[in-house]
Order: sequence, then C-alpha cells, then structure tokens
Amino acid sequence: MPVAERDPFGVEKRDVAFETGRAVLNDASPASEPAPTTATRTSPRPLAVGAAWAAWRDTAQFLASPVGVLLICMLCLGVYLRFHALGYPPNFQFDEHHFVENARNYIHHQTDQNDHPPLGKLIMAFFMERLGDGPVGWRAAALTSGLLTIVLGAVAAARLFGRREAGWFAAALFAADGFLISYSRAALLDGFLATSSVAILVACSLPMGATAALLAGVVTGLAMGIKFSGVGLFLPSLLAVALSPRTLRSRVFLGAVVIVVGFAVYVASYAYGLSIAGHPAGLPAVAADTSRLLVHHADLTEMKNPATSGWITWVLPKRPIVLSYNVQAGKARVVTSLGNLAIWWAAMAVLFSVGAVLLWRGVRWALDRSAAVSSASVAPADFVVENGRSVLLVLAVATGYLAPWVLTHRDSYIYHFLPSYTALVLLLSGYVAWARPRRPLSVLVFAAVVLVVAGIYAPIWSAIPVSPRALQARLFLESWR
Amino acid sequence: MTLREPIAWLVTAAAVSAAALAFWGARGGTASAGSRASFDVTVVASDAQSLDCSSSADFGGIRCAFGADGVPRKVDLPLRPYVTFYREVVLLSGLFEEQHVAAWLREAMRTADPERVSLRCSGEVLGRAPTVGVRWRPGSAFDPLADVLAGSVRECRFEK
Repeated sequence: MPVAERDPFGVEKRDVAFETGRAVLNDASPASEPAPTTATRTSPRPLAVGAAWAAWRDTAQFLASPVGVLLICMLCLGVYLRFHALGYPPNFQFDEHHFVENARNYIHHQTDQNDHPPLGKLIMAFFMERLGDGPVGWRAAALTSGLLTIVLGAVAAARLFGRREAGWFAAALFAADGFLISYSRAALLDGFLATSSVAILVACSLPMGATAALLAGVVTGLAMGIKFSGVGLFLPSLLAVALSPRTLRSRVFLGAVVIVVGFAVYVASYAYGLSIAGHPAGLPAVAADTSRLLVHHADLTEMKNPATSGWITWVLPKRPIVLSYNVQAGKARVVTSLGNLAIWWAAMAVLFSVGAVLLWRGVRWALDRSAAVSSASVAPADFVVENGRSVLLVLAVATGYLAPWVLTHRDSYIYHFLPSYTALVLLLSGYVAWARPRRPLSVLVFAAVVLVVAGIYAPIWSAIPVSPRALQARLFLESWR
Repeated sequence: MTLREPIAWLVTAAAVSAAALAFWGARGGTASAGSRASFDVTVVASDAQSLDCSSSADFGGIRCAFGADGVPRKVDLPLRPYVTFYREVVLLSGLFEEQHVAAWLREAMRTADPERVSLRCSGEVLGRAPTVGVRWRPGSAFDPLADVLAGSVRECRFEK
C-alpha cells in the first residue's frame, strides 16, 4: 500500500475506485476495462479486506473534512425536503391529474387515456395500491425514484470518474437541487427518466460484456416504456459498447443485445399495460398503439401553452414550472421546479467548456490518454484528457435526452430537460471531484455556495410556508412565478 | 494542521449558518395578527345556515357563535369554518355579509341554486384559535381542530 499524499485539508490524494480491490492513483479512467493487478490475482482476500478498510477510512476522513461536512448538510437537507409534507398539496399539482387518474384506470382495469406509454403510470399504480389513493400514495413512486437517483447517481459518478469523492459530490448535488427535489415530490413521469439517466451510466460504467449490455438494454427499454424520449438512452448504451476494447464482432453482438433487449422490455411493459386495461396485448397491438401516440405527439407543435419553453432557454432557465402555488392568509406554500442556481449555472459552465474542448480537439483526442496533464491544472481540456470516455458517456446521456427537442418542433417544457440536466450535474460532480485536489479552497467555496443557495430556496422546493415577500425575493424573474 | 485548514472550517461554518438563516428566515413573519391576507374558499348557499364553530378564542369581540362548552351566544359577525381551495380549514368572519357574496346569496336562496362557487377574498388575519370545534351541518357534533387560522373578510370576488 503506497504512502498516501495528503492535501491541505487532510484528505488523501490517492483515490480508491469502487471496484473491489482496485487501487487507483489519481486514476484517469477507471471506467475502462478493469485490469486485475498481480496482487489481486495472487492474494485477493487480504487485498480486498485491506482495500475495503482503506476505503472506509478514506471515506470517514473525507466526510469529516470541511467539504465533507458541507456535502452531508446538503444530503440531509435534500432528503428532508423530499419527505417534508409529501402529501401537500392534498389535491393535484400541475399535471398530476393526467398520471394519477390513469394510474387509477390501471388499478380498475380501465383504458389509459394518457399520451405516454403505460409503464410510468403502472409504477404509480403499484404504489397507490399499497399506500392508498391519496396524495402520499400518488407521489410515493416519485419519491422512491428521487432517492434512487441520488444513490445510483453517486455510484455512477464514483465509478465513471474513479473517485469516491465524485460519488459524494454527485449525491449531494442531486440532493440539494430544486429541479430534482420538486420532481421527487410530484406524481409526474420525468423523475423516473432522471433515474434512468443515472441508471444507464451505472450500466455503462461496468466492464462491457453480456451483463452490462443486458442491463443497458433493460434500462433503455424501461425508460422508453415511461416516455418515448427514453429511446435516447440507446446513444450512451451503444457508445459504451463501441468504446469497449473488444473485437468488432463482439461489439456488434453486444450492440444487438442492447437494441433487442431494449425493445423487448419496451414491448413487454407496453403489452402488460394493454392487457391490464383489457385490450389486445400482442406485438401488433403495441405497435399500433405506439404509432397512434407518436402521431399524436408529432402534432403538438404550437408552443401556445404559457408553460412551454424552447430548449435553448433551458440554459438560464427562463421558464421553470411552478408545480404548486398557494398564497393564502399571508403565507405562501409553493413548489417550484427551479433548480439550485449554483449547481445549474456551474453545470452549464462545465458543459460549455467541455463541449468546446471536444469540438475543438475532437472525440478521438478525448480518448487518447497519452497527453500529459499537469497535476495543478483545472483546465477542462485536462479533465477531458483524464476522463475522456466517462465524459463522452455522460454527454451521450444528455444529448440522447435532448435530441428530440432539438431535432423536432414538438412543444417543449422545462421538465423535458430534467434527464439531461441530471447527467450534466453528474458531469459537474466528476469535474469538481477531479479539481478538488488541485483547488481545494475553490471547491470548498463552491460547495458552500451550493448549500447557501439550497438554504435560500429550500422552502419553495418543498411547500414550506414563507412570507409572500420572501417568495417574491426568491422568484425574482417574472417568468419564474 | 496547515494554515488553510482553519479557513476551510470558517468557510464551512459560515455556509451552514447562512443556509440555516436563509431557511428559517423565510419562514418568519407569516400570518401575524393584523396582517393583510387572502382567503380563497368554496361555498354553497346553504353554508350560510350550516357552518358553525365553538371556541373560547376571542379576537377583539370577533368569535364563534358557540362557546367552548357548545352553548350558543349572540355574535354579530360570527366566525365560521370554511375550506380553502387547498382543503385547509380557516375561520372567517363576515364572508356571507360581504356585499358581493350577500347579493349572490340572496339570489341563490331565491332560486334554490345548489351550485358551489369559488371565492377569492381579501381581509386581515385575526390570529389563531388554539382549539376549536367545527361543524358543517346544523345540529351535528362539533369536530375538534387545533391551531386554526382566523380572519375577517373585507372584500370578495368570484372565481370564474
């Protein structure tokens, strides 16, 4: 075990990847195919125990550091805000009626009138049958999905960027973001897609083989079964296959596995929904109903709804949706989907700088790990050099989910950005964790700002009563109210 | 310990304090007695004869038509329980006596109109009744509630 160098904040610069027994010294791309060390092959158990102990010790040290304390505060706050007054409002907020009423239809074996595939409503129906047809029952699926996003996001970030710290940053940033909080407390479908964004990255972080391809196909199929835009997850799945160090024949096979499994899962979930409603549930029926919904969506291009927003405006964001708004008796109880602005704008900055590097240098350069990287540099180009494959996979998720709104004129809303945004926050987590040994104080200040912004906006992410003046101060742009 | 470690803890402490301050600060000053407020409720004409409360709470002479012991008493503009758009119970005084609502009520009673209407009313907060009994039909038992907001209505408009 090497003697670990420590940064001024008492955290070891050596990082240990999540894969058992694999020690990585500022590893550049641990998500690439794992190469067992000699020590692993000769004496796996002692090293595994030692590595596990070292991992726990490092985690404890990290969480006891100033930045670790801030991340824990964000996590606690975020989890609290997801659970707090989940049953409020007691009536439907925003579009909940579309999904709750059709979840009820599934419970009563009636036809789904909604214009999305069945799976999201089937998941909601599962929770409503167990927790009751009330506001908590309606939103329990979203809450579960939101908590899963935090956990899977942490796993994906740690694996992709080869640092446990990236996992902790991802968990904290997901926890402390209002966009994700609000959709964790609403009986809507988009939170499920956010979960799919991180789930697919977990699959892509595995050594690419039959299991990983199967998992990627399942996640993609489930995402498609929730909303058609889930088809975008084929992009990272197939990219992960293409980037794997396998023979061409093997990659073609694994790519076929991803596609076949993806569509099989989609068809199966759709057919299940049709059968519950008492309709024919064969492949032709699924194809016909899918076609019907696609034609319906293709016609929704007027952008007349005041809540619509063009995809380019999501950078700001210009028009976050207020899911619930009740100003009553001198107090306001509001749930807005406005994100944590410190996270939002930082994620955009990382996206644009990394995107510019990739456009300038090219994808092939990003995958070439021969370039030297200064240990003091925090330049996005160096981040890409060290994490090229992971950066491309995360951007593929964001691109896959963004593509339908960029390539078509279909009416778009801020929530269509949620799964892409989730991927971008994960990218930010990777960058921050990578930059921390180089600029510990800057990263600490960033985490501090994120927590303060979360504290400011927390009440209006979770329907906590505030004064109308406090509400006005937080939603200071007119288009945000 | 390096020179920067105390700075790091200082930054952390400042951030946690600022976040807590921002979080709790936003919650203060809501619905204090005398502050202006909006009350959004739904009613039917028969509510004018059906809604009642019993409580010992007294807001400068404005109170329920029944005492805490359930004994009726003479009150000019008694508090009555209403359900807001968000299904929260509030006690309001003067709602059916407000001019627009009173005009609607006369017409609705004349035509026996059973339609439920939504009202957006403005007024002021009187305070909170620590304990109160409410009933929605004449003669029925009072259901106990705790910490219910009380207000007086000045003006109402009908929600389309």
